[in-house]
Amino acid sequence: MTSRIIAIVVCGLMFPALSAAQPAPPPTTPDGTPVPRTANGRPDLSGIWNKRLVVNTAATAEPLPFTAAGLKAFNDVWNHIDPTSKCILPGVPRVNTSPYPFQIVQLPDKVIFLYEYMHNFRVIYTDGRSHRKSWEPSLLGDSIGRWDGDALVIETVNLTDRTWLDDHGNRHSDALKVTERWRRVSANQLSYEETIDDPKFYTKPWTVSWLIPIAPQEWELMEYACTDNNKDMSDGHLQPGPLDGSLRDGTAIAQPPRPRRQPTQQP
Amino acid sequence: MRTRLIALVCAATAIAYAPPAAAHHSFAAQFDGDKPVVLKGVVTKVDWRNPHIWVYLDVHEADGKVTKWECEGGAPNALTRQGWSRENLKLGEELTVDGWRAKDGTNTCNARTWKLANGQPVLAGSSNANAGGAGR
Repeated sequence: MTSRIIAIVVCGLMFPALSAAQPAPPPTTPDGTPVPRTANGRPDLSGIWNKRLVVNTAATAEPLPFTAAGLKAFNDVWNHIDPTSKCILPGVPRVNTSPYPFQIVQLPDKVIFLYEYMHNFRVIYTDGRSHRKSWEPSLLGDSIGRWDGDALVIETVNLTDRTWLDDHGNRHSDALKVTERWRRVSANQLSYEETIDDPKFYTKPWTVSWLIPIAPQEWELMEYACTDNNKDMSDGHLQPGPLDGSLRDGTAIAQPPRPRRQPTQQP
Repeated sequence: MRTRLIALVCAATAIAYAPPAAAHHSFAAQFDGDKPVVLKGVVTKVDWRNPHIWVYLDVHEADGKVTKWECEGGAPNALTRQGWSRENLKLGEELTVDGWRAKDGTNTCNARTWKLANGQPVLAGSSNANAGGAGR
């Protein structure tokens, strides 16, 4: 045990330059500044937000409750090129953890998300409508929103399995349902929470969250056309594997499947 | 056994992180972290486009031969927000690039730093997001 701890400590000490090179992490607690509100009293999420690249979105939820199929997909990542390297849209939820700022425009019946990265947009209706019935599964899926107190809750279904969750190569299936909870917790911070509910790949849902700082006042969204000059793709340099280069060390294990709770019948 | 595993993973991570992984594509897929290169050349073209800028150089060898190089830099949007622009690299200007060579042996590099003839560093930030630069 002691030697294991020493190994971990020594390993950690090997990367001082790496940790020094990281930008300072954003604060993890609200800074106490007042939450702006709209005329109808809701917290106003509007603004340009400086989201950052989250390399391993599952970091605080590990070990993940893999099913056998989920574990297989996780380990199989070294046989596939990251879809975003080929300029395929990051999809939901990765659009929220990719780099570059995004803008929220909050209206009484909808909330519009404009993402600089790969020019994604999402129109999230909050007027009580249901999911669409007949559209094909897509990279961004089918999202509907509702207000739960001060939180905008977005539920997304009808996703393809062609996107990944992050640069670490965490995966999802086409059974994925994503629940996002967005809250403005101060004048300068959004709280973001995502729940990954994917019964094909995970035996139970898992949830992660963090704060996103507001962008400097002078920032505007810029053009980001992934295919404009993607020489890595056009010159044939793309290689399989997760972008963060992480290896699969064999420590992740599949969890025994847990029966999903069925709705109980009223007597 | 577990300790050996940790050491192994640690060593593998050290390899993967020297230099740290890049963002839009895997650095290790295209460039060799064990093949650093320093190039002194003249700027012939600057491609300030997404997802990464590319700078083209004529490098004058000791024997008088000129070789053409192309080097990948940071993400234009991030560089712009840091206050850099293509004006920082003028055509015909002398530039020293410190970076890593491509694995495929072509005259391609991933730049870590760019310095003008007077030693002034420009375009801080590489395509390597984890180096605190203007990645992806």
